[in-house]
Amino acid sequence: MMKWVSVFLILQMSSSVFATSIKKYFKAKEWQKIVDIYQSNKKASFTEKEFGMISEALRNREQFREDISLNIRFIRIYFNSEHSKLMKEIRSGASTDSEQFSDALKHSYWSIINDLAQIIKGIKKKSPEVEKDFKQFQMFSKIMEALEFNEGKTDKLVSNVQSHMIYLEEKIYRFSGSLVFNYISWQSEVNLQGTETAKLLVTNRGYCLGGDAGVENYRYHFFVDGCLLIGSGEINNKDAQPEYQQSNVPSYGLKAGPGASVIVSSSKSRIGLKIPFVYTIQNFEEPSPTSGNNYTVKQKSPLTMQVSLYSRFNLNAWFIQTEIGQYIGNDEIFWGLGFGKSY
Amino acid sequence: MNTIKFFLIILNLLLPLKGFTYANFIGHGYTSCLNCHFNPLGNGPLNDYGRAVAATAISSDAFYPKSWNEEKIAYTSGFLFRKPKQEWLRTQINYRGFRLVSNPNGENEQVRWINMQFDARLILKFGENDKFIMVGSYGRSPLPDPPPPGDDQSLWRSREHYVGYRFTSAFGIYAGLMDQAYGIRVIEHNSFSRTLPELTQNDQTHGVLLHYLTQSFEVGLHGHTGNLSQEKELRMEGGSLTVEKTLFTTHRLGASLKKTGNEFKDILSYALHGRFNLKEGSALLGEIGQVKRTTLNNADEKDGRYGLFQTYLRPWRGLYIFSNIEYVDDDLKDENYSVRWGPGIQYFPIQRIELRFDLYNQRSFNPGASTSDQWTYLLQSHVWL
Repeated sequence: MMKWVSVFLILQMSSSVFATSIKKYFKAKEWQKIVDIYQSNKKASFTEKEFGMISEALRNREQFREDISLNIRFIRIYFNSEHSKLMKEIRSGASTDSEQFSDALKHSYWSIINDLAQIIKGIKKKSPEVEKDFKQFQMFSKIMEALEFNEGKTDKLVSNVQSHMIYLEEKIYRFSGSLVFNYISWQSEVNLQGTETAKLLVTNRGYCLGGDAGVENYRYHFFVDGCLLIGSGEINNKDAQPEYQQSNVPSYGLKAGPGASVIVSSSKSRIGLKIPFVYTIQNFEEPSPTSGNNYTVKQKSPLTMQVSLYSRFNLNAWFIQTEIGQYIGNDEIFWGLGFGKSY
Repeated sequence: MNTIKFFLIILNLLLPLKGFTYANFIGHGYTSCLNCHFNPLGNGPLNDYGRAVAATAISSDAFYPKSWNEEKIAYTSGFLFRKPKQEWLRTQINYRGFRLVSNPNGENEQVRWINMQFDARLILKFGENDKFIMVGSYGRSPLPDPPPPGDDQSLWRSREHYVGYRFTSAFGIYAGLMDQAYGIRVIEHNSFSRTLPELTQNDQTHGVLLHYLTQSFEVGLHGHTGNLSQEKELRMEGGSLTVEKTLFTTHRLGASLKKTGNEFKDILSYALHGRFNLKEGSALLGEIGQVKRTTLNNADEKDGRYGLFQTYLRPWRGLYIFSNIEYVDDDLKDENYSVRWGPGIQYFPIQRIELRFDLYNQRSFNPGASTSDQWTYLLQSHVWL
């Protein structure tokens, strides 16, 4: 018997020591000291007021998970039956008379939901842990709704957390692909070789059928795209010797390369850069010999590289895209206007 | 132009720049021009709401003090940077000028500064929801090149003066000098969709416009008497009609018809167009049309065709990156046509200021011929008070 009385007296004494210290540090806003006392005496029996002061200290020191544990313990000690009753009412779908429940309990729920919001908003990457926290958050938002406590603030908090969860989801890179059909035009240089070499310009137009594959999240799209191009071109050398002209010279080839874009609207419209390689084959008839000179007409280079500015405008899965680019090392321009479908 | 210069220009302009465009603001959810303009089909002075939208949703907020909220910014959108004290009078001043460079870095490079617009506008408005309005503008503007025959060839002119009365929110009548009701009113007066059907910066007409607007439809029926400042035999008389249908509450599909003529020529043009809201300021505009031009005694008849495709992206508030893709076949009898491709940037750093860069590459497609592309760029400033 004496032993139990001694334990009781020691606990009473230590509790009153906590009370004095916690109260003193709380007034001085020395949150860390309160947290230290709590950490060293987690199993001590605190009064309702002490729980409140420790909770505030933990929140100020951003120890949100610790604060959740503290508040759950507080509810179990002081409001277990009220909590059970409330949960039963929520589960049954019955209406709740919030007046029946203590303000201290409501404040404790409010602390927990705020802690969960802070934890979730501090997470930068989606994980099973954040999903678990979000489930708990949703449960406490139902409690707050049933109690009609801090309604406006709760709505704002819920909206913020939901937005953050959507953001975490949208940050995840996922595979994306599309099929694209483009109307294109490009110019290229060919060499007219005789005793001297002259540059001629070919103006081509045609189509490019292909697609892209890559990864994208809500903001960025990284991809490799390619298409098979088929077209024809016009070439002439009317104002110089030898006179030379050809129409509808067939051209075919491949255009492929990496690209990246920034998604700028919720419709997934985007703008970006591509660095494609273009390989084309175009065979020209040779000009008639003039004054005993033989001439040949050859592509300057079948393989070229471009830098292009491209944009895409989505109407649901379908999109329209534009592209304009310049050959590296040449003055000529390539452009394309097309449509496609995302998968 | 070489590759490095081409992309330096692009990159330079990706740094802070902006613009103030109009039909593409469907990308902000404004399907009808009447939301922001006194003229129900757009162009001309902004109404109070339009000025507030230009100051808030359209222009960047980067240069305002942090303590300013949207309400305060909107409050300063009035003529003297404050909300007018009376309801019946509004004044506006507009300046638009640009540096135009043709064939940059080429042998025939031409650099010009053009003061495109410098005008003052006066609006009198009375009644509930500005039921009765009187709108006038007067200012200095350059003559078209070449100047139109019979025009008074003055640099000072009114491009707009009219009265309007809205019997209901759905129906109104407007009479006076206005832009013609036809197609998409893009800001680029040199676009083929404006030059071919003769809808350029000085092609306004006196006449009467009937305007009908509901959630689903917008109709403008315009009777033209020609511009009365021209000699009588040169005035293009006739009429035009434009109809738009709202699709899925955010997009518009439309059609236009115009028949005008004077003693020397007749024009019949018709077009289909679409404006699509791609959200948060991004938009697509497209118009395809055909124009039949007949000269005196049917001596010469030409059918021409044009296409316009404009794309707008808004990476962040105040900045629009756009493309102008245009096609024109002046005479369908031959196989020649041109395509003009123009990426650009429009930046509204703060309300009342628009900075804009347009780069144009024009390519000609002619059977049996291959010519170098033509390049042009312009750097434009627009200030409105």
